[in-house]
Amino acid sequence: MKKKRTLLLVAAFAGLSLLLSACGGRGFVPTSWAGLTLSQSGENLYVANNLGIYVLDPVTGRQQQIYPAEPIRGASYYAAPVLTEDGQLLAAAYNNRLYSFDLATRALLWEFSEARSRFIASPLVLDDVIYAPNADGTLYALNMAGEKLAEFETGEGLWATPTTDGSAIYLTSMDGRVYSLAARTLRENWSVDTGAALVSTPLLDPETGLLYVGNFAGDLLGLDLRSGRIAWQAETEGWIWGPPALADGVLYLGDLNGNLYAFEAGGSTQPLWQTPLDGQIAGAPLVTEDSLYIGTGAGKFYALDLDGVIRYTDTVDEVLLLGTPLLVGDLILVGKVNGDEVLIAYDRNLNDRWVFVPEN
Amino acid sequence: MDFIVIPFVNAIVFIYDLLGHNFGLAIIIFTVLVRLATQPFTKQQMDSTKKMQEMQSSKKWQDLQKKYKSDPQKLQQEQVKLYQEMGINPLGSCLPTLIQFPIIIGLYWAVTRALAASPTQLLTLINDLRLPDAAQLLPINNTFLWMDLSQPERLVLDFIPASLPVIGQGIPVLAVLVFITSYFQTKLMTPTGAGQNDQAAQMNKMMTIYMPLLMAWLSYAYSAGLALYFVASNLISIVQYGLMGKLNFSNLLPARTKK
Repeated sequence: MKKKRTLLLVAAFAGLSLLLSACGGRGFVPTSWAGLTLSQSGENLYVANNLGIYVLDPVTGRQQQIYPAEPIRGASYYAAPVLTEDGQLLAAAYNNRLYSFDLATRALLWEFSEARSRFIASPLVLDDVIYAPNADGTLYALNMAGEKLAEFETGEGLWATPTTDGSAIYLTSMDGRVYSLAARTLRENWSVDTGAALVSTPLLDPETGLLYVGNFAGDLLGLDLRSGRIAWQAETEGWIWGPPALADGVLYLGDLNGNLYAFEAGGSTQPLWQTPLDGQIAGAPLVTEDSLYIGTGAGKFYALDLDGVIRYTDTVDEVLLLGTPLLVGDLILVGKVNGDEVLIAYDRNLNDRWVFVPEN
Repeated sequence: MDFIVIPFVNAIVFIYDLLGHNFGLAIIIFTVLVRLATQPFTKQQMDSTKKMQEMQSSKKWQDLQKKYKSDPQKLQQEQVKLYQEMGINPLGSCLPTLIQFPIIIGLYWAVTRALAASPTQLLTLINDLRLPDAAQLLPINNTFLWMDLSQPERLVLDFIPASLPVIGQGIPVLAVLVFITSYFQTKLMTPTGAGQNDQAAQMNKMMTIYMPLLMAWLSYAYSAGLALYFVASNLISIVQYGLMGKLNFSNLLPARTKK
């Protein structure tokens, strides 16, 4: 009888835990899509997904290694890993820590643990300084040994990797502001309020001298690099999450209503074209010489020509195909959310070439 | 669950906006409102439980148990007759709970979803929001008192050395509060042992410890927003029962041993 009672209790608790956590996934446990980085040689693909950073052969999708060599309890990684010239692999983690692993041995070199919230985005490395944005609203500047050099606090979380022109750091914040900071010291050059939260990396256009950012109000703004003045502004129908992509003077951008747009960079504020797709677009489109590739939150992956005409569509049920696709040789890779598979590789006609299921 | 969770998410974000972007207060107020709305079910459940208890401690019921001890089928038939005689619906205490259950789980999920601490969670929240000018409401301000509601809560006190195990990284105040309030809630709301057999009494005793422990562990490991919801929910339950005069303070006293 006692055994039966214990079993009943265990079952009740297991049931309650399962119900409350809804089996993990997108609800209870913070997750994202896999962060992808290709090594400079193009031989290794680094995939940050939850418990580890997996090294794959990008041609076959076969797993070769996993970072770190010894798993770190409580750490989960989704931001694209950063490979430094001095042989480090920088991994931003959801347990409020930034880790450095030895690229060769996969051993932990150092960890930065002063942040108060998650590292959602990858750090930026410029001239031996690491600029790490954190969801606590602070940009941390560290040396290559992980020691803090400076910090800059904004009003809300930082979910996007900063960008640079070599002398200044450009940062978007969920407080709705874009900041220009002096490299290394993080002294503020200027900041401008865009009116709504920003979660994507700013795009720098050296041709027009503008910095493009999109916000949750659906404004695509071109800011003057020197002053931060809004020099150009276009509107989209939905909220903007992903950054624009720039090719041959054309900006390509998706919104969370599922529209894909093309704008003449710095030119007319009316789109060159607008194509409705199915599902939220949360990444920048991948632009090749004759095509655009983008995935959506409805599990659709599209190939379009540069005039916005859909050429191919692939549908994967019950998943989200989010993030910015990555071109590796003739393959197009995109992160999958939900299910065991975390990455899918297409050829240019959207035939599946391989899928990646992590082996821990 | 989306048919419950999505309206709840919008309601909690609406309250958050009304309260000047204080999500901690929004959780508390929304929990109070939902509990008030489900009050009739709670009362109905309590009344049915009380009737059932009275019946189970009656002599007639006890006699039936003894008489048909070896014939469960007959016992069941006689019990049904007794229910009818005394005008008791045996599902009367279960149905209100079943109706409330999805609402309470929905409330819990709405809090989790609105906190949106990662890209996939925020995309889901954006998808769910139907409020005008929702873009101006995000991100939700997760700060409440010393807490980041989207993170596991720890109160860091400067005089406690960081090298100390467990509390060195901060005291989990909310997890402790969740344990205490869950413990008192279970104790105060558990009926007296009258009419209960040994097995039921033993089960109640175990629940008094294990349930608060489970809730405290969830509060320790997951976001402070959920822990705040647990504390608010426990306290409101205690107040609700207190207002109906159903709190069982005798359960807090040490058990008397028979000599």
